[in-house]
Amino acid sequence: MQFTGLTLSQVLMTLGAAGGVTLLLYLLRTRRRRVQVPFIPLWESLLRDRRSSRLFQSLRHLISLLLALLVVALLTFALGDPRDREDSPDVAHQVLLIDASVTMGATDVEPNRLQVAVDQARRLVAGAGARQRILIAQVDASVTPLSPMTDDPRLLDEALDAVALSDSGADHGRALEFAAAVLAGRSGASAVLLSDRAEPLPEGPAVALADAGVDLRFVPIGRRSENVAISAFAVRRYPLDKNRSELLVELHNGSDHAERVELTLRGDGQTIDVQTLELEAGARVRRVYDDVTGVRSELEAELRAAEAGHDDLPIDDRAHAVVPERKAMRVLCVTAGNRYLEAALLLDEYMQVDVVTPAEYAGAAGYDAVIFDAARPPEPPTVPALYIDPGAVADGHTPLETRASLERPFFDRLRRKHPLLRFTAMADVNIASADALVTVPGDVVVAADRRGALVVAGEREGLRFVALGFDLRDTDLPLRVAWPLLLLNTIEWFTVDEQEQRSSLDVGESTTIELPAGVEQVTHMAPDASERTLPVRDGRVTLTPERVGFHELRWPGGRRALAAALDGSTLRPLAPAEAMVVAGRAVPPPTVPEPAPARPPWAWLALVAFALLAIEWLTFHRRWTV
Amino acid sequence: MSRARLLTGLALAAGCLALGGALASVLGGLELGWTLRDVRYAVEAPAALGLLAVLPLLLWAASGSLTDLPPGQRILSLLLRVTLALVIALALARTSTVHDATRVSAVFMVDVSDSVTDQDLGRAAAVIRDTRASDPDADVRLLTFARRTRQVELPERVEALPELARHAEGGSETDAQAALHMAYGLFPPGHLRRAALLSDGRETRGDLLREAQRARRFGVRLFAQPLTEGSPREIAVRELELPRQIEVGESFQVRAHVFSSRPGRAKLRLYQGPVLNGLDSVREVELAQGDNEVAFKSIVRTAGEVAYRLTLEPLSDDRFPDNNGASATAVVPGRPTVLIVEEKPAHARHLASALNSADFEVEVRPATALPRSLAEITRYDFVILSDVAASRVAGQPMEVIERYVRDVGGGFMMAGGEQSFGLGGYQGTRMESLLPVRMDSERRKDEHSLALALVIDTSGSMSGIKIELAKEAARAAAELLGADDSLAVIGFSGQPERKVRMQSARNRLRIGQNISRLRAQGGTAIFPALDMAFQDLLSTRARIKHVILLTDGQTQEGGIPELVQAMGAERITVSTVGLGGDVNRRLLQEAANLGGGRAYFTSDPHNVPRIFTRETTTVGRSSAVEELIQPLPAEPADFMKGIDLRRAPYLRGYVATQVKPRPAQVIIRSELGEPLLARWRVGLGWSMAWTSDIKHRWSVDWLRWRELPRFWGQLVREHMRRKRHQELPLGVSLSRGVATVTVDALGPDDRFHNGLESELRIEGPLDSGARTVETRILRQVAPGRYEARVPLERHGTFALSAVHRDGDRVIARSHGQLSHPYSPEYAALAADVRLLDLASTATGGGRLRPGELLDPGDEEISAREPLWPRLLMLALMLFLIDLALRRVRLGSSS
Repeated sequence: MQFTGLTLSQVLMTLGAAGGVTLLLYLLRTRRRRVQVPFIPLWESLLRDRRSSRLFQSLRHLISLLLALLVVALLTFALGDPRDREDSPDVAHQVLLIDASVTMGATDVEPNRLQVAVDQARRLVAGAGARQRILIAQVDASVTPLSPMTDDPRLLDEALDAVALSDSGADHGRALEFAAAVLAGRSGASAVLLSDRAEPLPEGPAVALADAGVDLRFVPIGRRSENVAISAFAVRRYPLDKNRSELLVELHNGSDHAERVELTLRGDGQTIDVQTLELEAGARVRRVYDDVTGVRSELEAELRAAEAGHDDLPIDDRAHAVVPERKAMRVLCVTAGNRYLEAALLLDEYMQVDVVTPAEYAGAAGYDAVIFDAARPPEPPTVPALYIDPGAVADGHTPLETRASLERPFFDRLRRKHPLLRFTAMADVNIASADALVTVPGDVVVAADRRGALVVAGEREGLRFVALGFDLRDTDLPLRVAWPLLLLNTIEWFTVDEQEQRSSLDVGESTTIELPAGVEQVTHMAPDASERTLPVRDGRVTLTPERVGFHELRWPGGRRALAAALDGSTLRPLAPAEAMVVAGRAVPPPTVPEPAPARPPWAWLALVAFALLAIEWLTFHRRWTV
Repeated sequence: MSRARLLTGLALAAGCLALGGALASVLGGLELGWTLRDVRYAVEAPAALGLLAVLPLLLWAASGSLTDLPPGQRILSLLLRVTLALVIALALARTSTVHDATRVSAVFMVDVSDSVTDQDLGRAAAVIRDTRASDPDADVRLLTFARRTRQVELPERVEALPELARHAEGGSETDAQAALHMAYGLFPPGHLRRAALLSDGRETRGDLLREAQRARRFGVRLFAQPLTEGSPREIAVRELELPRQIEVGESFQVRAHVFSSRPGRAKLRLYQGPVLNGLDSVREVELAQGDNEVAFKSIVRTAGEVAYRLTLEPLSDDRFPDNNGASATAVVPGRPTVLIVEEKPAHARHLASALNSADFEVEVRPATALPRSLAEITRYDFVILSDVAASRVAGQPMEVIERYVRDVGGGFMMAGGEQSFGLGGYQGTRMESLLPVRMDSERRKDEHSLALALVIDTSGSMSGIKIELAKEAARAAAELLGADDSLAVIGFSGQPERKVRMQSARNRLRIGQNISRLRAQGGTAIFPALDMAFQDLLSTRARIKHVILLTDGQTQEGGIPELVQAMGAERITVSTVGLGGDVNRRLLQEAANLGGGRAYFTSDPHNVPRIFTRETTTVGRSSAVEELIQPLPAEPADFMKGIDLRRAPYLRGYVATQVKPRPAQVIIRSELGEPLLARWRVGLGWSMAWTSDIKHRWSVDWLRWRELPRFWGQLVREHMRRKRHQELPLGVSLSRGVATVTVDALGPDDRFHNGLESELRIEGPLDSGARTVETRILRQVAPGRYEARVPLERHGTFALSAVHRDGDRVIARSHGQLSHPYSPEYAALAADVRLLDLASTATGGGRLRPGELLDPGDEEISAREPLWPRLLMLALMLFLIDLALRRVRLGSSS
């Protein structure tokens, strides 16, 4: 027991003072009123009565004093706010983990799974005794404690009111590790997980729970699974013809019966396709739109039951995607004339190409990239550069030296994962002759013959370069699809991030966006129209979308649209788990005690004092006490 | 007390109870509050105000009081008691004031993982002490975190340094997000929330940046103190890289990528399996600052899984020993398989033996067992067709071979012999298109003239398609003859008839017209026609005289063998072609044998032109050059390394061909400049022509050549198929303990492959004794993109392989490897200050500066202060006053 209000010494001092005053007051005799009574028999009767009640009169005074002292003691001890010590073995500690991930929005139970979980949690809280401390945490992609470890019903109520549905999946492992960390070293440790999922636990959380001696309980939430969902929705530009895009829509029927649904596709807010589809039970159906060129930016799909069906989870009936941006690039081509090169550069209308001869070359300022075809600049260029056959000329700058000529080399070694080689097939390219490129540490050999490097990528003075050790006209590479792909991949590698831009992010997935120079502040508009400011650092801003839908980043003079979609891991069948298994054993549900009024000890003391005061008032006025 | 009064009291008590209950249930659902003199009050549990229902009872008791107190004092006492009851009820109803507070609660989160130095921990302890000292009454908590988070008691004395102990379970991971989670639960209500993160920012688990953006919503401001004692001296093995494809017996390079924070030295040891790598095992290297690549040469002798392990022994300072090694594993396919199709399989034993000793699996089949499907032929990495006539390969087998080379990337070689190239009737066939040589060799100066007699059955049974094809065959044969060759065409049924008199083959137009006049009718009498041909040839001057007899019918004529023998005596050779099932095979075969020619039997009339062509070429062209030939190098080729052709034995013959234009190459030539070995790429594979043979006729001396296994082994190895299925690129990235595997399926026509059923197999850690195999579905997430996410709990090298199906058909595979040799904790070499700054600024915080953490600034937070202690104290005072009033009479005493 410990005093969390007045300290023990303060309580004793107060008790001593108030008790002393009470005692003093009871030592005082009430001044009696003098009444003249002329009639002697009345006196005799009075004296007779007084003689018969002498003992009661003595005790009445004592009882009254004790009653008063009791009231004083109750109030004084209440002021001390006595509680069980936190480390008392009689105090139990519990963590309630409420799954608030996206599938808890399913409406197979009224009003939805999350609300049912919260109601269950309320029952657990209501039945908690005075010797129980509870912490309430919301579980989604991370775990968020909504209350401290407390027995305060108000704080726990507020925490349960604060549980809100998330658009992300649930990380039970992380949640249970959190519970283990919180409960480590505490008496009577238990954790209750209220969820519709029960994934097998990874080793880490299971060990953490065991180490902390936590008694784990599981409350299954949910009843059935009748759900048709958009399980994939994405658009990609074709690698070669980047002006065209392909869209994929995948639907999944998680119900145990066939469903007829209507799929509506919108682009930039306009309806571009509506079709009705029959989905068998458990079936996945894909639709591919192989040319959505007309859509500039935003694509949206919406699913509706064609007949009066029931869909338990509405949020997965809509999906969003943004056509990956294309940045217009300015490329300077320095060549004496090479139709294979110039023709390949014309393939991409987003590339603005200027061609100059080596004699006309006067620098690459204002360009995003420069290509030197059998030419060398007098000085290193100020932009990323592609060098084709640098060994053809002797004078000028080159990032790499060349050595002996190779006769009939082949691409014996290809670094297929390099962005330059994305979607290319070059193993069978025929080359009449080439110069082996001499690399320095840090350079990446993208393609090589056994005798030397043929394609090298690297950096010089912070600028990227690519070198091809052969003349295109000495190969059959220009006759292959691989050539324009290699060229366009190179330009892209110079100017954009290595990762192909995706048409949507997963909810909770961070993305970092480069901003134009001078931008210091970015405003983020979420799908619910809320706005907030994001900090800019080193010319970049990082966003982690938490809601499904279209997001927008705005800065002076620019904007960027993004789409966030449900994490694929959330799109498993909606059927709720019936049990949770940890280390081969089923996790039992918690026992739900009867609701008990949860009052702190001081309140009980004060309540008893109140009752005593009422009783004392009544007895005083009947003169049973004084 | 009178009975009436008692009853009244009881009724009143019952009524108060009911009233109290009703009040409690009504008030319980309300939230009461009021503002008084700019102070806002709130009643959090108004149900307790139901206790005030007792007031009527108090009033009733006072009204019938038996006490001897003046009325005024009685009223005063009643007021005091009512006030007392009200005060206690308000206390029980949890009355509180709501005001804006500026109290700060701060939680320090200190990174105690292995990447943080002891000096940094010392600095962190000092920062905490100094912060507490600036405001000793502030609410300050302390958490330490690595993989897990712990709350640590702060010392009571503010001036004391807190103890920042590392966690017993180790610090091989850093999870700052989990620390922030725990911090949320530590802030008391009514306090401004501040968190201070003291870390090097190298998180290996969780997502601090994401959590920081959420923290802002919870009103938590994060301040960061980077722990950067300076980049430690560190040498780390980043990766051990193996080639994508390793073949048994073929040397390759193993590349070690080593990072060094400063110039230094190290000794590297490479193990293959449990032993040191044979070819190249120990290196002492000078390391430049930054990334270094060290290549080791290696070779695998046996198919199967091979594990490589690299250990690094630093010869200069190195902080973390945990990252001084890496491993990689590759699956080396079994010995490459070679299929030799030889008309007489026994003749291929020498080559088979040579290839076996060069580490190949060899299968020899007769021509009748040619693979007839792509699935069958793709079991082999290289196919040799040795001395097999075109008629054996016609149709599907030829198409299969072409697809095998072009689409699958298989290696193919035709080897010479009497039934190969033009001699085998391949001219004008699909096979000729596939090969790098042409069958129409230039006419040689000493080429002999040829007199050819075509004796064609024109009986009634030849009517229809048969006679038309016979005419076509005759015309084709005529086309092949040179200007100084001669041709006669004799048609026969019951009687022979000269349709084309023996004349110069240059009269093609007339010859063609005469051939067109062949008509089918009547019976079959071979002898007269054969005799007529004999007579014609006797009177013709030519070096070579040859008869080709075509019939589809039975004949029981006698004398034919004797006639053929007589023709043979005059150096006239005879070949026979039997068409259909009714022919006298025995007779025709005997005639060909006696005539020094060849017998052909076919039931498909479409083969007749081809047979005629072949025959004509065989006899007329003399494509076979049979003399001692010194093979000479033509163009260089990698597979010829180490082979000195000048020391090679002579060949005794080859089939004359012409090399096609570039990109066809001649690697070995004869003294006359004609190709002995030629090659070129067709689609994904190689097609080669070896115009000599591979058996004991022309290569009899070569078969005894010591370099023979090496020559053929290197040749096959260079040109054999490299992969068995289409390979789709597989990418893998590792972030925070989760591997994301992505496969891009793009067809050759720039189209995405959609709807594939892809399954990923993850096996590992390969370099541990506790490897497991896990399978995952690669889900299609975008056009042509398939993805799977795999949490990784263990470290090591993992082999990834994926199979992609379209329905039941496997259309592609993917392979990759994931190297996760040690926790990223030990790969960290510099603090990620940027992450710390981003996370802190996202919450409105920033770098931790002295005094700023506990300074509320202009921030306020709504706080509730419960009033019950004051109310209970007031109640105590009121009770004492009430007691005093009873004990002291106010007013007169009489």
